[in-house]
Amino acid sequence: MRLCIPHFLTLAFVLLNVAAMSLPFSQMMKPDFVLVAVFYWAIFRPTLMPPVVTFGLGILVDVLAGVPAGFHALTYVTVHWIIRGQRRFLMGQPYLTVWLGYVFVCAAVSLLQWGVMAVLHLEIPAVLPMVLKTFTGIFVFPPLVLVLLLVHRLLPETKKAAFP
Amino acid sequence: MEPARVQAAQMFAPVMGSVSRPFQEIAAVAEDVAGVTNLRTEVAMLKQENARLREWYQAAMMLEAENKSLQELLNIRLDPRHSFVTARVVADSGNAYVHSLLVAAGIQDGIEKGQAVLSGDGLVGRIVEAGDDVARVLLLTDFNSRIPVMIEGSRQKAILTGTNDELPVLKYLPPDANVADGARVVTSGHGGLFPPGLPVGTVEQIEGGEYVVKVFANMDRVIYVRVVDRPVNPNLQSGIVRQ
Repeated sequence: MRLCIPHFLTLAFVLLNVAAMSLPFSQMMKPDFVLVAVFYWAIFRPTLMPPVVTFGLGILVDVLAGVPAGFHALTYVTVHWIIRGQRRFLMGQPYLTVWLGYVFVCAAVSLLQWGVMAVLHLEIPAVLPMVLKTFTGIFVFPPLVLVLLLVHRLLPETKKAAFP
Repeated sequence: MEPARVQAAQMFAPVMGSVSRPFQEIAAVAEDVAGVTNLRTEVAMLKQENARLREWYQAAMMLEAENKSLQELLNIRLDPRHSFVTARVVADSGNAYVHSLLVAAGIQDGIEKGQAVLSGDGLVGRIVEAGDDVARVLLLTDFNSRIPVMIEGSRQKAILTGTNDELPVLKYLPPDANVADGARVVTSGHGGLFPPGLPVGTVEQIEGGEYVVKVFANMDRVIYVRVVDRPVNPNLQSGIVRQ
């Protein structure tokens, strides 16, 4: 049962991703909550979110958000794949380095999605929303990681505490 | 892909609605609080506006009477009145690159693909997918949005094109178009999807000579939208003189 909690949490992140917040600039600035979960589990518990699950999660976000299918799915799988390759390095790092890693991932994802949209529409999309989204994504990382960390601690056979 | 999308949206709509509700409540409270802080200035502004509107009311009453008598003289057939369906927004695209909303009303409520969607202030977009009790609205700021509009006054026609930015652009305006800054933009009704005359926004010229539209509707804050019925028969809208 406890093993299901992270999945419910990720589902909650998916819902947060698409929930109408009706706040000023919310459409433009809303961060990608699911990306944080993908990033965190790829480092600290990759078995919990294998590539297939990550892909499925991305497709669910695509379908609910009404974006071209595969837009988030491929992003998440790529992030998962790259971060999983670097997990041995990232696991031993202090919190700030991990955050810095996320800053890099978040910026790269925004740029990638912006590029995909540019190719899809054969036009240059606005830059400001991309920049804003990246910044909110970076600043939403600490609170979300705190939640993920608490859930991580609840899991059985935790091999290593996430952060010292 | 579309049926799958609609099915998934339908399945998740209730829970998305519940997740959205607290945010929307907070947004409403925040707006109220912000309103309280500048209550004084707002009252002064409203008093001024009220005085102005009273004058307009008199003018409108006079014009209405005049209009009615002229209509009777001409025996004109008027545009059919539109009916609305009001729906709550349950989700948005959550993405800076796609601008859409999911509303909690669908085919069962009489909503169809292509219908115009308004907020209290003006046009928001159009229905692009409709399920039984959920529908997706493509906002007019989205890249894929193209809406035939008309500039009031000059009656110049153009296509309002989304840019994924806050300000959609007016395209296909002739180079010699005489467009005044601040002129009102309304739907032209061409193509028969939208009723003509729905308020959209005001024109602004930006650097490079391009015209953008400052839309009346605040799409980020919208909580309830109105979906407008399609015109009964667009070909009959120009008015027919009965013999």
